[in-house]
Amino acid sequence: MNPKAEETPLRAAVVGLGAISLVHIEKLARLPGVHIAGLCDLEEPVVEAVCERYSLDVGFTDFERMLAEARPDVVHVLTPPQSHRGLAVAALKAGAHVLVEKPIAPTREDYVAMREAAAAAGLHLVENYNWRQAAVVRRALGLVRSGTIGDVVHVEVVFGGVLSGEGGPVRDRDVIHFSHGLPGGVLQNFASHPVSIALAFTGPCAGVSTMRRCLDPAMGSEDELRALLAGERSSALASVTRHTEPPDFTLRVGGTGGSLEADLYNDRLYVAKPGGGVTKIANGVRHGLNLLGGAATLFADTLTSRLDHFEGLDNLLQGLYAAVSDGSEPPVSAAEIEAVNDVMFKIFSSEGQL
Amino acid sequence: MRALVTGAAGFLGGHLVEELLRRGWHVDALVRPSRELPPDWRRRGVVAVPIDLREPGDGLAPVLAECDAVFHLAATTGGTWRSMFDTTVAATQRLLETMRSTAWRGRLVHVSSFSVYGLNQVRAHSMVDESTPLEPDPWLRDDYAWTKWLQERLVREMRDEGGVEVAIVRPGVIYGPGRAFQHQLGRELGASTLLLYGGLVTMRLNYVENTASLLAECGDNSHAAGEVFNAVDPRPLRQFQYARRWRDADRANRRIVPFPLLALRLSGAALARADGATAGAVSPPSFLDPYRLKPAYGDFRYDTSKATKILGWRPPVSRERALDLTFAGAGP
Repeated sequence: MNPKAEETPLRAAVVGLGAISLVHIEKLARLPGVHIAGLCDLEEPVVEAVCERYSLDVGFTDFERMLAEARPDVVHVLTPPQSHRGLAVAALKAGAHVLVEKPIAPTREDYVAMREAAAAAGLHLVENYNWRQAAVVRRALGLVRSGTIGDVVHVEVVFGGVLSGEGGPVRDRDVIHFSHGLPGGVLQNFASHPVSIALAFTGPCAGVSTMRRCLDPAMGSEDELRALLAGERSSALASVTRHTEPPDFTLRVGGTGGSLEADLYNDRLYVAKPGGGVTKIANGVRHGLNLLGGAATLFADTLTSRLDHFEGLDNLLQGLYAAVSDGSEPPVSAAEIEAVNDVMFKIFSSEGQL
Repeated sequence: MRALVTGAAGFLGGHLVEELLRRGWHVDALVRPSRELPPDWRRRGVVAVPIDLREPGDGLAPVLAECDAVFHLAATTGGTWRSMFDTTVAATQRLLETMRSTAWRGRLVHVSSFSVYGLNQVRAHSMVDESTPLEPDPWLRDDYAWTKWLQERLVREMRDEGGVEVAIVRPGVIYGPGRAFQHQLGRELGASTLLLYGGLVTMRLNYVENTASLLAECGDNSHAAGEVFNAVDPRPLRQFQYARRWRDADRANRRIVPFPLLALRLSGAALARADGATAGAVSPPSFLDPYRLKPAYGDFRYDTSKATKILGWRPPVSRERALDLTFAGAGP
């Protein structure tokens, strides 16, 4: 953050005080040079309760009024995706950059309208790929870019386990969760995590073949996804699974000069080098030590709350607010958002369905 | 006399409906449309009111108009903070707004929680009663404590406005058949092991039929209006006594493994100190957070005499009978 930021803090506003909003608010509150200028939700009691919790007197139930009175530099759009387009376009027209929760929009048409509004205003429109920004993924990407495993041939990302808890809002049979109203249902709410990570290693993928199915009819939505993505020279398999146990989030990148595996939930990374004989044994020993070390650090990290599944959002917010402040590139580029959503809308259309 | 019971499909709600029927009330059972009521309730005159209080709608007003009392039990313990807020706080707001807009005049018996008390601000081993100060920072506890605190505040505002007679009941740990495990014991490790945190902590147990009886009494008894009552059974048990009764009755041969509470407290305190020193880079996980540990596992004494003094009410089920009934079926 530049020194001037201390004097004139950037003004942040949040619209949509849902489950994820407290994560954004708490991270914003710790971000130097940023001032929370507005919190907005349609439900007045929730606005009052959140403002009271954080000792903030910046509550609104009218979004247009918040834009006019809070004059935010950045608006965090955290409402259900069906409302992203209207809110994001209004914020951009009011001169604010927009950070929008995934999925950016239910349809390609909505996304294009948002993208064009951002381009016309010359402002940033950033989709939250917090797992793509996680430290372990950035370490893996650093290794690949430095040539540690040669050229990438194939990538597998498996995102498992957290689509819905028993008794959680996604399984509510009375007040239907917004994700069931997306064209791709609950899967569309989560698929950008594995897709954004896969594309970081493969680059844009034009070819997409998809398998979507429902293994649990009570879910009310498809709950298993496999998407095979074809890039220019590399490929990827991006999966969302609710039924494999234990729930894990893994990344495997196979290259011409080695391979790497990352465990995203536990912040672990392992690299296997090519070769036979001694190298094979060394790979095995290193993998074993890595797993043992992982168990020890997992224990310590659990006791000290060091594992933060939203740690990637810290990186993203730091980068975004720095970009707003000093004109640098935001951590998620418009090209990356384009590539991810091109794949997302192909996955959730009838194209390429197996 | 006709009563509307919200949360009627829940554990306590089911027992309350039975108690109200026994006392001669006509009962409207408000339940989410997806929930089913016990089949014999309809035969016994219970009217199902399929309304979700989280959703706006005008279906509640005509139901309310027919009722002399509302027993408000609807709340939730699970889900995200926002789904808890919607179910516990926003739904209560909707109920109270309907009472206001229709100028409803009757008795509102509200089920609050012990979690509204500021037990971090109370010295260990001291007496907790209805005059104990409320939690100053409920969001530092957990989402359940936060939302129940917000919910009770709405109800107290209603009480202070006048018009509706309000009685508030703050139950301790409700137990009964089908609900033997209590978080005040510690943690369950799989189906066969109980990790007992400490063992000597006095449990604020409240047998479900006793809670239901006190709630019904608050509906029947004119002296309940404007009052707050804690619901904790007399002659409280310590954790090891409750756990032993459970183990002895349990066909699963549950093992009880004691874990020193002091170890939890010390590691929690050390991590909380590290939290300040590292600007939040290291902090205690929720199960070691000192601000959550003391309310859950602090040893307090409980004065439960107010309901007897004011209402002349005594819990109908003795401690021994309650334990026998709870553990008769054994299992969890």
